[in-house]
Amino acid sequence: MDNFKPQISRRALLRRSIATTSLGYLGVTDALAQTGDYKALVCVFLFGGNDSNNTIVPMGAKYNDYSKVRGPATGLAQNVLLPIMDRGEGYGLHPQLTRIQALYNQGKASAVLNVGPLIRPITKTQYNQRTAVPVNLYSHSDQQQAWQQASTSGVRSGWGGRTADAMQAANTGALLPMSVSASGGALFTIGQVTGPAIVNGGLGLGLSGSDGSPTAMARDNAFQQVINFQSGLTLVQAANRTINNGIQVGKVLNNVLTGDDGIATVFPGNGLGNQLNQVARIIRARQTLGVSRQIFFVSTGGYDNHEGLLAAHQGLLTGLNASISAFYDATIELGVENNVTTFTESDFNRTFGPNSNNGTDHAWGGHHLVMGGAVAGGRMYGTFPNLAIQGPDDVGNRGLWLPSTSVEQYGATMASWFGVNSAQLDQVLPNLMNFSVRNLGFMK
Amino acid sequence: MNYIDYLLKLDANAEAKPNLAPYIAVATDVESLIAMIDAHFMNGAMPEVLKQGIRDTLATSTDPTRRARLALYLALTSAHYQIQN
Repeated sequence: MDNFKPQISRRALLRRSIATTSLGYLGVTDALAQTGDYKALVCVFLFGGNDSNNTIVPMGAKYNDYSKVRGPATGLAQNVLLPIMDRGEGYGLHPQLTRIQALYNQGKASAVLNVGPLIRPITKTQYNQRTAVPVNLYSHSDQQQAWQQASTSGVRSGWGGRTADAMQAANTGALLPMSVSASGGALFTIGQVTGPAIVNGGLGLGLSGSDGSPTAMARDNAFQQVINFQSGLTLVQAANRTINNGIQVGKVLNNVLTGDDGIATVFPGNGLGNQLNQVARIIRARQTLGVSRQIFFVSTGGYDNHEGLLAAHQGLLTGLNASISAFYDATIELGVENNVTTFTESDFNRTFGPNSNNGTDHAWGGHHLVMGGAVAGGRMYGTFPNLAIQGPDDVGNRGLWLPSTSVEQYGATMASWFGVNSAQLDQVLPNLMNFSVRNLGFMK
Repeated sequence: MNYIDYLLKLDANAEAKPNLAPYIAVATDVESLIAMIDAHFMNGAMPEVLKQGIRDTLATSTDPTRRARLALYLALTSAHYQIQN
């Protein structure tokens, strides 16, 4: 091009400018100090498909049903399991989940059993007749989407984002969107009318090039003068106000995300620990940010263990336990342990029957952990599958559990605690109406 | 705004690289640079506050490329340009 003039349209530039500083989602000023009524949901997505058959294992007489299929190469010895009781039955958590066991026994953690994407409740016979079977089961990308989306209507939004849509009045005047992802763009956080803030280890929000040099300071001063200039042009001044707000919010967030976190709890240095540290920092700044409801998405990967399950899973759950433990400690430190509920999602459970590489493959329904002072813990919810291969709960021939609880019910129970009313729940989770139990009861 | 900053840095990996040569060529003379940008982007209607901001900023640098970038940044990120022109 000869020069730079006409190649980028004004509107495209404006759009890019807005997207770059997230101004479109950053509301106006006047942070409201809202202390009493704060609630947060934190989704920990375990990418790859967590083997929940080795996360929660039946003990006692039913342990034999487990060990005879898993064997020593892919199964856990009964004497290393961390015992928990559920409705008179003994189960064992994976030996690395020490903090989860402690929280469970304190009544602050629970598990929901055999959860998976469903359109409506179906039987094994209906599955075999392909009646109301969710599409593309056993596919990573499709099931990651199904768990985050919790809808079959084809909408490109997630149930966390739609929860934020329903609750947006609670955050009127906030400086930050209700949904926040510390793990990149995540469908879970995208609403139909609201969008997430994406934080990434304090990646610089605000104006790039503001490096503190004399020239940069002169540039920013000039920029500020232009913004502050009262031109009398309504649209120009409105745009300037929005830009100014965005810059100020960027400064606040940069400080929140990269300054001294003011949190004594030490987080593990792994990816999930760092993300949960970012979440804790934002929760700590909730009054400055003017938020009374927040929905976070964090994630960790590596769960697709088609081979060498035992060693790989041990490492993964060690990191998970340490990260969640630190995060729970941080919520205690911040005085919000009863206001923050952390829960897991994952692509799918893995086959109960192992493969020839001492690994396990893609399956369907699995168990999920829920933690926080608002959880009615110390027991589990839902139904543990019958572990018989080709038995009543196996829709294949290697232990692919037909879910007895849907992602909709799992999400609705938490969304309801969060403040979404019954009518709104059917908007947030369109398939919920197909299930007679709308609340699983695991939230106080 | 940050995308404009990115574009003007002429990063080797950028998806688009504007040709700043005409602006760099006149950048030693701040009034000529302002006049060129005003003519190309704002139809001669650049407000005085923006012109003065460019003058103040360019006083901190003698490097023509940097001067061109700074002036273009201030003009293209202004709401005057994005909304009025």
